[in-house]
Amino acid sequence: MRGINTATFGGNLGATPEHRTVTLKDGNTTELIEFNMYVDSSTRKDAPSFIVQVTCWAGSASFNAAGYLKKGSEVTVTGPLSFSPYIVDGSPRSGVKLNCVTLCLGRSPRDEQSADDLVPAEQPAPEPLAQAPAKKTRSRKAKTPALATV
Amino acid sequence: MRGINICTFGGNVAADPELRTVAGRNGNNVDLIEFTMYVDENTRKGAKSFTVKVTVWQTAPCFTAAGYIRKGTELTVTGALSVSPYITKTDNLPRAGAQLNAVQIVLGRSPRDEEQPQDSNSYDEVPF
Repeated sequence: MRGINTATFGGNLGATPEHRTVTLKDGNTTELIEFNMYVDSSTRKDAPSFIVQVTCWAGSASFNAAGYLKKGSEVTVTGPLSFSPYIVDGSPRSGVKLNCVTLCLGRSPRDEQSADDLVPAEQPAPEPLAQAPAKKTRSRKAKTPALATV
Repeated sequence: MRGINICTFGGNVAADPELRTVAGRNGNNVDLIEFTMYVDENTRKGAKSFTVKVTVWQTAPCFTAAGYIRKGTELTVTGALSVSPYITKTDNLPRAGAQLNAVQIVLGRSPRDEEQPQDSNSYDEVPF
């Protein structure tokens, strides 16, 4: 029996995601989106952050959402964790990898920019609205029951 | 704002936990329990696992539960992950150095439980 292995990380993307097409063992091709995100080690402010390489496979629920990511986007990912440590220039790296199952989008740099564009610094005073003609409303006549004549 | 960092790992304890006492920031001594556990990777490439060093601080609510852990115990641990990669001195291989600051522990089967006699229902002497 395999033990549970689930990690939930929230952070920002370090670079623009990479969309790749890979060939499986059976010869079929599939797509995947890979990106690196920075994750804070703990709740302490002086704790350093580490990099997690996230992979979103085509067919998973996270693949479509990953298409909206860009550098600096806030994101929360969930999935099984694995490690592939390696050495770069003599210094070791942890090689934290996460197979993304669930992806929640947060704020994106483009969203903040567009929000600033929508609100100009000085807005002219709004003109008073013209008096709109009263709409003709249909009035239903109350149906009065016919009185019986005596 | 600090990002979310919650990991839940299930596996077996590699060795008996170690109880240590360290000096806190305010000068008081704080107890902690450390142990290493094996966690399976959810890959299709057969059985592949990695090790995580779990730290349980005295202030954590699961500190009492950690006292029942021994080598081989099955458990599920939840907490915040951090990494401190290093290179082994023996063979110069890189290691991830995964560390988990435990917040919650769910104990599973322990080797001591399995050592209990299982033939209590067997009858050696038949009365007739």
